[in-house]
Amino acid sequence: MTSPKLLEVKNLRVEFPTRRGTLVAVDDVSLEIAAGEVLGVVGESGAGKSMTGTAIIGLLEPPGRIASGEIRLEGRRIDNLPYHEMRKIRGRQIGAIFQDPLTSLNPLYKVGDQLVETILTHLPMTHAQARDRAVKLLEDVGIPSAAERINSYPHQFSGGMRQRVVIALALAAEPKLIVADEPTTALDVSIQAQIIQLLKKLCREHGTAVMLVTHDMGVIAETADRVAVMYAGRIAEIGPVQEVIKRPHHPYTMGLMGAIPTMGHKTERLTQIDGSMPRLNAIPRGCAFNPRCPKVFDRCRVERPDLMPAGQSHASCWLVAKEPAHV
Amino acid sequence: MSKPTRTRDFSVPMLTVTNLKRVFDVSAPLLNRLLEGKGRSIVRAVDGVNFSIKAGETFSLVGESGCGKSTVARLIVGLYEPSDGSINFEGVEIGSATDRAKHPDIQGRMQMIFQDPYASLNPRWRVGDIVAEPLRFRKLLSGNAEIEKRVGELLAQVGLSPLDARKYPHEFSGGQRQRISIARALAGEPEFLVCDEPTSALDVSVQAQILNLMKDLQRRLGLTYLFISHNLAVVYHVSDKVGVMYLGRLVEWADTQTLFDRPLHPYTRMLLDAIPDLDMTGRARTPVAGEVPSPLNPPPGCSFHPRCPLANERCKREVPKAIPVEGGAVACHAVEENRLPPWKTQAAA
Amino acid sequence: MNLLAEYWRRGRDSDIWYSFTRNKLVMASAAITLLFFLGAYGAPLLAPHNPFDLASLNLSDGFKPPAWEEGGEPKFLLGTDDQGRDILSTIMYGSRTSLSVGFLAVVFAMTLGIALGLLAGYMGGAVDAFIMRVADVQLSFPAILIAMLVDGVTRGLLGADQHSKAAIYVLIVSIGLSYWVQYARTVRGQVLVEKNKEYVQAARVIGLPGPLIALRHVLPNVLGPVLVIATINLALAVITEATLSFLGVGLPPTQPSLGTLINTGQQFLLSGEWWITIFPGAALAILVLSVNLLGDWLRDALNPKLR
Repeated sequence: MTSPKLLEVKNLRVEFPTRRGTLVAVDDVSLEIAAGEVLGVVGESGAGKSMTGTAIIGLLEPPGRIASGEIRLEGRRIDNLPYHEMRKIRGRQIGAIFQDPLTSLNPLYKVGDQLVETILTHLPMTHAQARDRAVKLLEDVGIPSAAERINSYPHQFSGGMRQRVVIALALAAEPKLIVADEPTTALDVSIQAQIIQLLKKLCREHGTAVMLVTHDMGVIAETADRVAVMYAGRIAEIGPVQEVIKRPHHPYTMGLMGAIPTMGHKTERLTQIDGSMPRLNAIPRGCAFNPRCPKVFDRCRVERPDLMPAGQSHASCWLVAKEPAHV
Repeated sequence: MSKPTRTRDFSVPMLTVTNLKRVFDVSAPLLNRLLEGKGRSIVRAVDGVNFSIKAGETFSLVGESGCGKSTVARLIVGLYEPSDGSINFEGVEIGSATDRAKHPDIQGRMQMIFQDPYASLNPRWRVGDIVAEPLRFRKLLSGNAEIEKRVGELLAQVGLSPLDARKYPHEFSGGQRQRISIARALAGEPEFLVCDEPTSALDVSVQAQILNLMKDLQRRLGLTYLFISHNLAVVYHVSDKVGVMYLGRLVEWADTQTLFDRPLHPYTRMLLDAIPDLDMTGRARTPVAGEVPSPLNPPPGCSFHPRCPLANERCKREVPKAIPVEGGAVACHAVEENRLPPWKTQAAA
Repeated sequence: MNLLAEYWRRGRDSDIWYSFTRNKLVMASAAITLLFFLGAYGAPLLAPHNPFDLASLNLSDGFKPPAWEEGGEPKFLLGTDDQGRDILSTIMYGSRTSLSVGFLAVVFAMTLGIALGLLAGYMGGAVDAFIMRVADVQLSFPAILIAMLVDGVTRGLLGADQHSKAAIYVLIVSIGLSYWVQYARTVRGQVLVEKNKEYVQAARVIGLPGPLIALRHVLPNVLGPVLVIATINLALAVITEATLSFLGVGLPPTQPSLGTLINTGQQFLLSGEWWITIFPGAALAILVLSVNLLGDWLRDALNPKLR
């Protein structure tokens, strides 16, 4: 590791005790984000990617809880902090962007007030200085006539503009890491492109690392440096973005890539992975993907694979263990 | 299948839509308007759309939110009545509700698949009853045993088990529910299927299954699809022809390959540019500007002009008319005036 | 039989049963309500005496205090009234009337309310506006007033004699008419939501006519909250009947309900025979409280957002 690790997640396990047994939403997930890098976390619904992001920000709703594992921010443990300590970290060190810009902003308060409130909570400055900073933030995210729009209410902005305001809010206190959960899913395609570009630009300028949680592989391809593919609460594959997309090692990743329609060439049939992701209370023994895997063999059904080196990435698949690491 | 296919005249398009319009009155209640001095507000959801679909092909309508594609789908299928224009199915005019009522057999040949797999099945009905409903209502079969058998066949055809008929919708996943919706649509033995974003609410791998299934069914049963989507990659994969809509108007339509290789309308080009690049060929992007304006207050003339890099004075005043081009049509002054710059073709992966 | 066993198993497994068995207060309320129902409808078999068999009454048995007091007798557990009727038995028989009137009034209100709500919600436009305005107007009057109005009008139309015989039906209709609005509004709200869902649109595309869609598709999906309203309404209906009878405009004294019992008993309250009014009053209060608690729990248990 050449760059220092900003965020380190080790063996994270998030559980939901219900009366029918404990559901494991995130199962032994380990990942790292270096300062200034963009890590994409991709997966289908139920894979546990949002849950991982929520656990890192510390916003897990009870009865969900972190059952075991560690989350370290710049070496310091943050998963076991009391509420008021975590509050200081949230916003100042870790910012958050959620999917729905309509509900991320308080409809009753002007946009400027929400920005100023966030700034003043975390940074020592006067009200006037905070206000100036808020205007500058709105300009940075591309809101025209920022000095006037700062007094508008959220409903007076369009969807794309609102998401820009949310980004401004996330960056307001200069956090080192932003957790973005499906930030572009609710937006039109053309707006998506704008928001992605904006996020990339700002994070590069501010040196902010981003954990980008999404189901859209295209967004990951454009934005991320590295990507983790999640399946049934576990990481199936993690590595540099070009590697994982062009040379996937895990059969799930291969299936996923083949299932995405692309405009480069027309295929008759898309790659189909039969069946569907197992429900949390019915995760198979051994490798969670084994019932659907076209390359399954005996070991997969019995022993659960951990992440193993595969080319320049890591994949949790016994196929990879057979071959020695080669490109 | 069980019935012989009808003899079809392939020289005449199956569905022709001419100058289709639909206006929604979204004015505030009378009292509010009087007190606040506001006028009426109307939304021209569909503003003069023309296209035709041939038997056996897949025609897609693509566009962003508010463009009117879903409204067109609902107009064709009869959920809304057009404010103006005509809808012609195999030579029969079925635009207005009265026309449609005169031809119930034509209504029976059309079916629709909806976007939300969770809201498109009645949660209180068993799957078997849901799928059997078109059979029962149209009296295509009689006797419970016959109906049960046919339902089993339909479920098997979409990749489910006949035993699933006894279950309730909530026992199925999103992808499976879409399959049930497809089975229900097929029960009436339709020829024409309108699909409104059928895979938008599904995961990528499930989407692949459903798209493959739909292609198989089209081949086997000779179906014609009108496919509505906002996802250009999906549209590229399934369609024979594509129409691009913006704020209620059809700005361009063409054969799929032609549209994607040589898009003409600036909005089409902008859309194609905006798609995240999975192949990461690092192509340069033209800057995208602005957002879709509110349909309550569309810009005058060509509604795309505020965002168009090629807009001139004429564009601000005059609504462009559709100009026939190779394999389709485009409505753009810049094209008519030959001001269109060449388009960089995308490199194949 | 197999179907029953299936339902029993599903019921035992369900979330509702789970929440029920974990809430002692609700279980107690359910037990009390059940007890009342048994006592009320099993009165002919279970009551120690038949207080309406005039032959068995003995005036000398009158004004006996409850059994644990000085002067009481064990065979009149809760004492007797001025006519020598056993209070416990009158409570049981009276509960039967009260519960019947309450239950039937709720059924009437429910049927009327659901029908009007469905009509208003599904048809929209002028029909909707008309029905809702009628509902609004009615809501501005207290329910009791409406019940009294209907009662008074029928009394005038039928004459006192006819009215006595039909009193119980008039009461059911008048209470029902005063409570339909809540059902109509709730159902209408639900119908407006369901109307726009894709499964309704799918039914329209198949070609089903409007009324068929409203009855077969929409109705089953809007009935959820109705059960909760009905349970809480039952308590209200029983109280309303009691109030009306207490005021003298409900059931005649010949058909005693808990309300008439309280009414007849109150004149003896100050002269020391407190048990004649207090026990029926307590019975009414306990019944209504239990049913209310059950209704509250049911509403929370069926609320998907709280689960």
